[in-house]
Amino acid sequence: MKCEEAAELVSALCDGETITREAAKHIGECEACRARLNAYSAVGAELRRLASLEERGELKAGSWEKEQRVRLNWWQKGRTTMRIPRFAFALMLGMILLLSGGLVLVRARTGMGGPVLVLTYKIPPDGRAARCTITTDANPRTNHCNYSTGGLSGVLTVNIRFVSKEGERTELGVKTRYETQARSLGVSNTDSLKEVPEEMVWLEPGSKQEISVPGLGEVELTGEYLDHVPALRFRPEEPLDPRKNEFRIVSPVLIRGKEVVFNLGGSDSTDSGDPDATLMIYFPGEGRYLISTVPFDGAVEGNVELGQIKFSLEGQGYALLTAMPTTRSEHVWVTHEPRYKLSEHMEGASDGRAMFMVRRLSRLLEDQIHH
Amino acid sequence: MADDRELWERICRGDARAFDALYRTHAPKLVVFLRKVLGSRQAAEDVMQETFTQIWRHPNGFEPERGTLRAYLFGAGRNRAAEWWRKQDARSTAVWNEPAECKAETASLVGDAFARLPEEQRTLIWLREVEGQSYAELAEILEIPVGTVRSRLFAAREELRRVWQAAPEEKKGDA
Repeated sequence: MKCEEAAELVSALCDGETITREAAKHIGECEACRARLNAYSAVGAELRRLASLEERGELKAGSWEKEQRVRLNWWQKGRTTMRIPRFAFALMLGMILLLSGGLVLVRARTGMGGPVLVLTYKIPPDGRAARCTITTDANPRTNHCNYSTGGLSGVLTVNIRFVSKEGERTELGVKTRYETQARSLGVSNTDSLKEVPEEMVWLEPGSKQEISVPGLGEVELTGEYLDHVPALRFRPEEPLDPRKNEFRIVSPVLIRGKEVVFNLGGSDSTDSGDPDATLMIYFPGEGRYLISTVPFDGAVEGNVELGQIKFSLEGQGYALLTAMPTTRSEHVWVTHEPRYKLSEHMEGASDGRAMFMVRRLSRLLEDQIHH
Repeated sequence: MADDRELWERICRGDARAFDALYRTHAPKLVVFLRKVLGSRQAAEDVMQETFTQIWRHPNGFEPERGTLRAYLFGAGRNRAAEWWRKQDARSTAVWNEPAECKAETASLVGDAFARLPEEQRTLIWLREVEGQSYAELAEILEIPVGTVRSRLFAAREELRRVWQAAPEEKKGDA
């Protein structure tokens, strides 16, 4: 055994943990490991010495009985000093209950089986926000969300599922994983979380929960209720107009002549920071299409009209229809590579699965595309 | 655990004496711990008082089968401390400095190195070395898996050891 392997076990030994026979033997014979053990012990003793210096005998007395009595007295005080007739007060209370009952009914109807919870994660180190939406009901299609983001020094994957609800509080099952090495596209989010233990948290509007993600830090989780499922579950506040430099594809359908080439409804991808944002669509048997907001070698020009992108390739007219306006640009540039195989360019990717994503053009033109 | 459960049930029923016993047992250590997390005696006392007051007013969240009352208290204190830090950040105030005379009494090589550790490492190593909290209690307080406690404790100790070893021998003696 090497010292580096034994080091963590030296620390465990300090905590009274039992360690492996091999490690115990090594630590007994190795001068460096024994020095480490002595240093850990000395540091621990020093901290305890400091604590002894700081602990003070005097303590502010708590006034717990008084605290509670104050609360009770408010009600008593209110009753004795009431300035309006009792029956008027009762009438007012009744009106409030009636109105709030009506509101609850309206909310329940619009919620159709329970309100919708919009979750916001603030991701360290820069606190960037990401959102997803779940229903707080038994609908297995909508009561959970998988979220994965790169752009950090690794990939963060989060899975959140609805568990139960008590009044305004919602209980959630949360799984997170942070990987410093880019995960291959062939592995789904759910697969990467299989072995991760689930943490249960209660969330209510206005409160925060911190989810500790090993290797990354604390992800702050907040939630707000909404009375409907937004059109884009991961971006509930998305405006109809694309932002500057945004290239957004929602539920794309590609039509060639009169034939539907593919229909990838229910999914979306966006790039909002790069002036050369490019859509790549891969479909089994079709190869890949690149549709970019900037010209590039071999590409033909197409026109953009809100949620429609029209272009001609190989003598045929194409229309890419999407559920929302895609870009502020009036033109795009398109190529089609029918022999393109995803597996040759992305580690772990499957040629039998359709996928699309918006990324920088330069990244999509690399031989190896990383997530 | 059985004692914790009984004490907690009495607190939930509004028994002020039971709560006072809890306060007297744990408040002195909690305030020292919070001082290490917050770096300010006044803030530590305020946060400690807030922690106890909140628990007294709304006794919920403690589950005896998940851990000890002590771990629950330190976890609640740590969350309050985090909240305090967030408020400080939001107000963009300068880093809170202790008056010089307070620092002098505990000036120490290890103490200074400890103060420079990230908050989570400070919390972990203090609760382990000074409070003697178990791995399970630390996992409960920090809301991390037990396995992670061991590796993070190791990282914190290594950081302190690095400072300790780099110091000249006479300084170690002064520590």
